[in-house]
Amino acid sequence: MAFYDLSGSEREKLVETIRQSLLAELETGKLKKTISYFSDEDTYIRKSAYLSIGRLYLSHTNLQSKILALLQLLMTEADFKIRQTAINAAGEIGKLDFPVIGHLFDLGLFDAHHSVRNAVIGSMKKMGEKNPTPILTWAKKYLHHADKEIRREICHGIELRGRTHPQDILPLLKELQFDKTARVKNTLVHVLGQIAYKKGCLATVIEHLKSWDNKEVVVQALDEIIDVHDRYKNFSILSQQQAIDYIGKHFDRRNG
Amino acid sequence: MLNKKKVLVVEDDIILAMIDKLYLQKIGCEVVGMVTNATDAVKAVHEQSPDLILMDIRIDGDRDGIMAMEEIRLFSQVPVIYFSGNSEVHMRQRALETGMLGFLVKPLDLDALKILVDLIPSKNQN
Repeated sequence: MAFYDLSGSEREKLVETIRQSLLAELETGKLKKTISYFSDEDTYIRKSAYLSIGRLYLSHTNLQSKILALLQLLMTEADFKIRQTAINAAGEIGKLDFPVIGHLFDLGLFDAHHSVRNAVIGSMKKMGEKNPTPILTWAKKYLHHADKEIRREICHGIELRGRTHPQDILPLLKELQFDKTARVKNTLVHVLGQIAYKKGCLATVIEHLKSWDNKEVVVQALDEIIDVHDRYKNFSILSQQQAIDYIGKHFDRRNG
Repeated sequence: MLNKKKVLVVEDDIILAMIDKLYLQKIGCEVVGMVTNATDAVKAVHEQSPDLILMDIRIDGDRDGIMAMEEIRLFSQVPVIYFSGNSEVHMRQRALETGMLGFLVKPLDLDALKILVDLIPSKNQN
């Protein structure tokens, strides 16, 4: 039976069973149930497992080195779901303590399976919200990686932090302004739209874009920002017309 | 350039084995195998000819780490460092009879482990 076919109390009981099993196996180093939960077909079981690992890391400080070694071990498993769950568990830890798991993200970013790489991006987003400084420092070292997919993934991964703190990621995005790859450029423009519609963000983004040299990208970004204010009108602080007026007043499209 | 010392880790707790592996790599060793029982340990020594065995006393199966070493001694003089839980300290005398290099109690004192590892020449070292 799938996780969400269970009643609320049954789900709570299952989550506790998962937690207890993971704890017991961390102590014995026999990983039968851990492997089973980390590779479960049900994404919510896997999620319960990685959330439990994150909580156990905080609550059982005596097991921290074992938890870190466990995740390293699980990154060598053939089943991509196990590696994906390991990265997500590392993401939970990285919300508070990134340096201890940074090397797992170096591994996951280059994983052969897209689900693992996507878990890296998802984890960057959640870690970046809570613990931005080390995450953005880590992201920066891959901004100019030779592989365009890595550049695109990094650009996407820093987005969430930028939604509330665009000033934190704009300098990194600026480094991609002359990227020649369409997928990277499209992601860059997309992210610029995503970080401009919340309270106070439009002014920060517009001001920063004035310092960019690639006017073609800037114009695309301005169009995207205006479009986002319509697509996300229920969440935008300004209406689309107000955004158009603000940009018209504060940005000269010909001269920046 | 010297070859890295080749280490076989025999430990039934595979998370602890991984911790050992990470530490051994950090101090310049190459972990050529991680096995959990006596049969696999004997086989790995035959196949890998390690420079050192890191051997847990309590391992999977019906033979403990010392019994595994007794069989290994029939064909190899590879140095061994035992590590044990507190409950197995009384086995030290038995372990001594297999010609051990060291006997460490868990949790492993990594500095002590390094001192012992440094005593072993790698195969290409004169």
